[in-house]
Amino acid sequence: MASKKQDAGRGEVLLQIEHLSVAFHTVEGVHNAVRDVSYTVQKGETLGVVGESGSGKSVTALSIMRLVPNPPGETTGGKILFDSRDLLSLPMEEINRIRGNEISMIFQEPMTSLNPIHTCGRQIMEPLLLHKGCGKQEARQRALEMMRLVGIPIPEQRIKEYPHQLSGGMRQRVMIAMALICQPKLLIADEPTTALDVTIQAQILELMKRLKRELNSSIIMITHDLGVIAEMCDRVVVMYAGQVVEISEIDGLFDHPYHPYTEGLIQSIPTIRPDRPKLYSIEGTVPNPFAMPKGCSFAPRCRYAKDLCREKSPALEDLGGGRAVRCWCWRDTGKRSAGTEEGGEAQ
Amino acid sequence: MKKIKYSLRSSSFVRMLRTNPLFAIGVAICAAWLVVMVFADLIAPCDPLLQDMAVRLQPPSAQHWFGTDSLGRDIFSRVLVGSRISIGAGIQCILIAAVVGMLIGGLSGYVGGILDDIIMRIGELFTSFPSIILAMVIASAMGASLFNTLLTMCIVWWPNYARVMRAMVIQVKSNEYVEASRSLGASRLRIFFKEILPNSIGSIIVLATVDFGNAILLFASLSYMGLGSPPPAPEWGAMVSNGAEQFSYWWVATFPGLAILSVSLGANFIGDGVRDYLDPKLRKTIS
Repeated sequence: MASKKQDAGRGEVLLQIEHLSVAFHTVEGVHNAVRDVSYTVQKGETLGVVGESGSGKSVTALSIMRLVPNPPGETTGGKILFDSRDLLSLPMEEINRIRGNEISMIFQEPMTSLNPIHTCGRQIMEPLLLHKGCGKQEARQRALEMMRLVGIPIPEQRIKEYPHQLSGGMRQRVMIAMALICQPKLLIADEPTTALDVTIQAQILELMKRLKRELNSSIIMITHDLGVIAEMCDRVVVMYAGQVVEISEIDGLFDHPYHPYTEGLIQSIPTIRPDRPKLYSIEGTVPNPFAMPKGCSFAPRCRYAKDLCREKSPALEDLGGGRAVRCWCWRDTGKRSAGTEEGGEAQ
Repeated sequence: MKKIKYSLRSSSFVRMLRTNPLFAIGVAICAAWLVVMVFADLIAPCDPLLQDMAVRLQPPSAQHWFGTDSLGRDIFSRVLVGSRISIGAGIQCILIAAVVGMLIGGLSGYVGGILDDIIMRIGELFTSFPSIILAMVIASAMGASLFNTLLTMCIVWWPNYARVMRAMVIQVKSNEYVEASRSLGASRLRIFFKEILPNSIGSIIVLATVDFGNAILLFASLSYMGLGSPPPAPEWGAMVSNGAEQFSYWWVATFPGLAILSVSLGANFIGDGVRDYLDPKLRKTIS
């Protein structure tokens, strides 16, 4: 993949996804949910993955955990290297040893991701019992510590309570405690704050940032909320229709988006100024997965699209400095909308 | 630690007795029957097998509280001693059928695919016959004995449990917390026993307690046809059918019938209570 070399200076690569393709076999035909996706996660970084629903960002993450339901899902190609092991070819016992221990996941819905019949304490202790061979007493002690760490008040009381007795924010804290109790190297957060209200969102994001520093984990932050990305991430992968369309450092992305889709996403962020303009939205919808356009998948919605775009699909082009973009005319992006930007060398 | 745990358990049991009167009644009924089962020989005033044609078909009186049957046997004593056979058979049958059905149905729903199809078709094969007829066929093929009859009843009944369990498992396994558990590295077996089974077991318990009365009745019918416990033994079902022939002597069928009714009622109440207890959302908490 393109940006690997440049990133080498920043830190060691923890996870490397190479040319991953995942297809779902449905009644209507084969749905290529993930098409040739490659990106890396370095040790200690927070990588954001943005995209609309159906862009393949969650499926990519589920592939890392080998949680893509099969059937109907099937990995049709690629590798996922984690600590020099290919997760896609490891036997199931190995995967079970990695899950929850070295890589863990926080789910979107805290209301349904906890088992209603087990106490919170029992669920937080579960990974310890599974992976670390702790006794009940030791696990309990560590669960209490972890609950304190994620900011659950009166853990001695909460440890005995059932999920339905907790609020959404508290449940998400329990989920985070479960995910982090074995101090995994990689945490995959699949829209961890989407189901929470705004004030709780901020608290949870703050908590994740703090825990990342304290436990020195890497995070893959999957979201469709660029605000969350701006708040949390070091680097960003933008996905569209199952492909990576742009990879960038966080600063560069917001200042100069190169892919028209990224630009559209940034322009769609609502502002709360009193003179707010009409909310921008990207025209059209995600292409039908069973009838992908011939050329660039974004071309039908792209205001820069040329004939070339509709004919031929662009490759992910490495621009150096950890940036890559999948667009024929990335040099034009921003000029038509901003009007003032003339610095970019057109052509 | 053990002690604390024990006192916690027992206190929640006591709390259930206090907050759930039906559960308390169920416990009382079943506890009473348990005592009767254990001490039947001591409590029973007469020998349940002793025939005395001189006092046949006597109505209830001070000497024969429940009256006597067509052979002059004391019905009260027969009901008491018969509890051993009838309740024992009911419990064994339901327990085995529920556990077997639960495991098979759970496997079927959890694994899915071809295995699911095969198991369910086999189950349907069994349920497509009226259970009494199927039980008769199997029991007579294997020879009449108490053990064979119980085995027969299990063979007839497991598909009910398997079907309910399968439906529950299919519903439960799609929950996000099962996915979350997989993401924590739990093995399939562990997920089945720790996450899915406890969430599906409620309906099985309710079904089992409702079925308990039916099991006693099915066993009774089989006994009546000479396929269960042999005739002279005091067995509630056989006593009811015996009484049904003597329509004008109401007490002959009524008392063993009431015994069956009370046991299945008690089992039902306990089943409801246990189901509520297993579901933390329904568990009444006093804070």
